[in-house]
Amino acid sequence: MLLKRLTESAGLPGFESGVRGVIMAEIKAHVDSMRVDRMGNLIAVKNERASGPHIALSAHMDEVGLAVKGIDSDGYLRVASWGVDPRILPAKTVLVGKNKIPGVIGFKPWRLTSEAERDKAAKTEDLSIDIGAFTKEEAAELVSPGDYAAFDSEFMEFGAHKIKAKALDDRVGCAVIIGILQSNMPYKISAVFNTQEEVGLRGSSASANQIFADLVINLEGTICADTSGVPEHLRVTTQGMGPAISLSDRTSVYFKKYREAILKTARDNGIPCQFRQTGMGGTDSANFHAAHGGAPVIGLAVPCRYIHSPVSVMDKRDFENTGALTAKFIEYFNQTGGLGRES
Amino acid sequence: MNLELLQKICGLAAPSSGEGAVRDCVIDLLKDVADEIKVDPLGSVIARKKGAGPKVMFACHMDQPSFMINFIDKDGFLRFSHMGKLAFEQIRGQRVVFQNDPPGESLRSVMTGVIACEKIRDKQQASMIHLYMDAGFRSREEAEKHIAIGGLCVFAGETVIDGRKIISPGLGRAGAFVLAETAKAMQSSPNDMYFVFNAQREVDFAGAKASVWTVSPDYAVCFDLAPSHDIPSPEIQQLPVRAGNGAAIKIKDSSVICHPGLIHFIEDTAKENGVRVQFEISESFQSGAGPVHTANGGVPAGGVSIPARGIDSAHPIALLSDIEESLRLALHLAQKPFENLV
Repeated sequence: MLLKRLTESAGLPGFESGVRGVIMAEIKAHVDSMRVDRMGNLIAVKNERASGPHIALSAHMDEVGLAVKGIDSDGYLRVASWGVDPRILPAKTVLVGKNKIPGVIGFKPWRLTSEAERDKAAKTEDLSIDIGAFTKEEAAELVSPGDYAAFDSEFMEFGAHKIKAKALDDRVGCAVIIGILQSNMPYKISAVFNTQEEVGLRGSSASANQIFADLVINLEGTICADTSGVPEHLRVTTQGMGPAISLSDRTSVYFKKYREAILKTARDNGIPCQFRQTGMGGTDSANFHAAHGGAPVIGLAVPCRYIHSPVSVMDKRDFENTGALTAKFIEYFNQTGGLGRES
Repeated sequence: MNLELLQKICGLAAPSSGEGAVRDCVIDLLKDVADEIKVDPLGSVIARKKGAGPKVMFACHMDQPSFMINFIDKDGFLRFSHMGKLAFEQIRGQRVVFQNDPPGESLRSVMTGVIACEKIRDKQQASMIHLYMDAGFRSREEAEKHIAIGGLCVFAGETVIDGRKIISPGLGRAGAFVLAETAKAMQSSPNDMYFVFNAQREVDFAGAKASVWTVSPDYAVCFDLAPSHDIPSPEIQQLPVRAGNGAAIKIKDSSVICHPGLIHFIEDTAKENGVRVQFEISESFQSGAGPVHTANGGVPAGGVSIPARGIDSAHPIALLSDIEESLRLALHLAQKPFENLV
């Protein structure tokens, strides 16, 4: 399964080549051109010569994880976090560096913790990865500072519709785009697979300036707090209710005209959808929105519970509906000549 | 100074992405004086007055701190996200007014609401997530007849002008007033002048980022407010901006260090024409000059700011004398050749 292959590849910010390789192999036969820019972004074009409106699809390849800062005298790895909630780190398994050296994130024994420590999460700088080395020298033969540590988490299906995996944010967006590229759509479509989103939208700050499209659809895995005890207005999204349409976030506001067009497409085709009910977060949309003269952007996302953890959970139906809605919208956008050009 | 126009421009409602009313007003003001006017994909207005010299962009913004409805509960209360640098204490208890929908359509009814806070036991813990809007609805169904998810609103509040000052939720548009008046009043310019009224300042300067690429100016001067530091505070105010001391020539804020060539040019222009000026150094304050000066391989940028108190509140206040000095400075700048500044 494509999502399994995508989520089980490692792609920490700046080290996305593994994921990029999987994507390139998948889309090679279905696009007219494919290139990798100097930030590592993968840009592919399908039906390059087709006339009519031009939609670009964007997703990011990288995932959250840890970076090795140094090795201490006992051979433990000290780490920095690339966007991970420190509460989830202790007792997780990780794979370090290109050679995927297995390790575990250790923690202080209970009997040695103080009252205060028991009440709050350990800070990332107080945690370390145990790769089973006895000395600093032994560890240094296997890893070096700057290596990344990715979550080690198998893709798993459970319940009637659920998938558990790491990096659903944003391999699920990558998978939706791959599905569109593999279809026999006749329209001109650019696909942009960005690097380094999780460290501040860095890949797209370079790729956005290389794309001249009439509309950009940014595909994401997004926050879903539809879990036990969370009041309805703080859930952001709910699983099973379909793709989440973005309203606004810290760096973009999504135009009503395009929000309504995608909502109409969903209704006309009987595809469930919902709004992303928060103004928090930031996505690559920001860079496409403001690049060279400005472009309208639609944000569509698959709700992911426990996002940015090794056990993020999504609903397969939301994934399928996100793909279906994206495809139907591309069709609608082309058939209406781009909905007219003004915003 | 045309106080009626100042009142009109500041008094319109222009949430980020819903700037239609201001856009229409600006286009109406400039349509007979500009050689070209265009509206870009984000809704910013770019008005050009042709000249033989370098391309000079004067930029300001049209939007204001605003809110977007993102959830309606079963009892008809609204939850929202905010656009702009707004703190909990500034939002709580304020009245809001919803934008007519669709923008530009004549008033059907003005809908207002109040931002209130959930009752929570430990008051110290109250934060943004506890705030909601009460617009007097009794159920989700009733609310949905009047407001949709994605609906926009801004702080309610009269725009008040007396002999000294202006208080307005849309005070940030004082820069737009300065630009519109400058474009109208200026004679022929030695520069190729672009007056840019940006959309979406409050969304990380999206409008400014996009329009600077379209204009590709040789020089830019950005017009905005600057926080005035002459407020009662237990801490010693070490930053220089004072309301009443005139137009503030921007040296730096947290998003830009202005080009020395432009700083000196603006300062010289003020001296030559007896315009009262001070210098702006702001901390934890960003302006459109930030994204502009790093665009397209770099744009030498300067700024002229109007000192305002309560800049991130519902009711910011500025002194008319400072707006007047900024307008005089803008007018002199627009008519002076931007030559060999870098």
